[in-house]
Amino acid sequence: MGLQTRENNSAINSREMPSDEELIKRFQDGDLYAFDLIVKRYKNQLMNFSYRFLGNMEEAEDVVQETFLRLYRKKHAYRQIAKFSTWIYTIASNLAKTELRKRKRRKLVSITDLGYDEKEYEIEDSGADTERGADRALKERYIQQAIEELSPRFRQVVILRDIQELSYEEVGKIIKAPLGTVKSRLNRARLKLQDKLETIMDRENQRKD
Amino acid sequence: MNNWYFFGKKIEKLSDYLEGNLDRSKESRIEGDLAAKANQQRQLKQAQILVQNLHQLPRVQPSESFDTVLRARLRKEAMQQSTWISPFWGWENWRVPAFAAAAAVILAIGFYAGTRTAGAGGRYSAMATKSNLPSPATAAFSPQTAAQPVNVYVLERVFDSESMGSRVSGFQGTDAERATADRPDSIDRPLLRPLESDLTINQAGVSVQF
Repeated sequence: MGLQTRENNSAINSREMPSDEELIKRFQDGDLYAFDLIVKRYKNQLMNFSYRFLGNMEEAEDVVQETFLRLYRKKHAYRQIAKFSTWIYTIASNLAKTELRKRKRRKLVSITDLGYDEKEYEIEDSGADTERGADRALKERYIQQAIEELSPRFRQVVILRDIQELSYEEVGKIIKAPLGTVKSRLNRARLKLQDKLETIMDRENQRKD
Repeated sequence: MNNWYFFGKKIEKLSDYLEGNLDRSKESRIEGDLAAKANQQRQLKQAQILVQNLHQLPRVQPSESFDTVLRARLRKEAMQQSTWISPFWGWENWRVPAFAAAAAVILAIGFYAGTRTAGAGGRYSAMATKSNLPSPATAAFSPQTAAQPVNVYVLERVFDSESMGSRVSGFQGTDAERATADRPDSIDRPLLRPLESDLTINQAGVSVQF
């Protein structure tokens, strides 16, 4: 078994690429090029995180844009004692939660918002087996919907750990909770998802048996 | 809902078991517990499938216009920052005269540098083309710098098949400057550079003969 934590970009490319912390230091020292590299390095993963959290492409993109603007404005707020990835994820998380609260206030939550927009995805074309591709897309839709039905604190932890594949330590720093809390919250979130997705999980379980 | 997950230390152990972080004896103990509880075993399988499914969710990427929009927002941000002093200094009123004065000073310095360099034999020729480096214009026009060839830029971006990106080519400068400019992960269209380069770089590629 064993789920491998994805290595950080900076670790993978440590020989050629500057680390995140080096980049932010350069940016703090006035190297604007470093900002470009940070954006290039983080925009995809933050977009994925925000989309999974909010379930809406436009809102998610706006959150990511705002995250980078905050970084630009408040670059000196970052201190080397923290890992840069946890710092930027914390900004994105807070913005995503704020967006969620705004949405609730606007009372714009509707079943269509929570739904799945096929235009936003590129469904793999499995060639001869299109039925299987459609099946997969449907499953992804249900999973996304189930994630969005979780409360924000459960949603956040399950996305950070199981989708973004951050380490427990990183998740703990982002949500500002000890390791035990991270693990127990993650298990609860997974159980809630299992409950919501019981039919799908059972079907896959039977298929594997 | 099974409460087995919720209480005691098993809740943490279960995460470790799911991710293969336990030694064989602890795994066996958990598997023993699970064997005694068929329902929980079913749920554990479900949990494994769930985690796999979450891992396999497609990665969503920003739209193609992401960089363009961000660039515009950064530009707006920078403009707001730069106009922050305007109420105090009456910048709106002084903007045109200030630019005219700055242009006159730059031309005067350039002329002075040109005559000095021509007197020394007209050694250097500089061409700034699609430059993304800070203030090459300053380097080209400064009399002190003109006497030192290390700051004269002849730049172009070329495709680098190894890094699958572009890099700066034809750079004449110090090793430190080259290291800054010629990075393997260099970006084709910088987000922030245009903010600076609008005033300092000859965008269309202008030759300056000394």
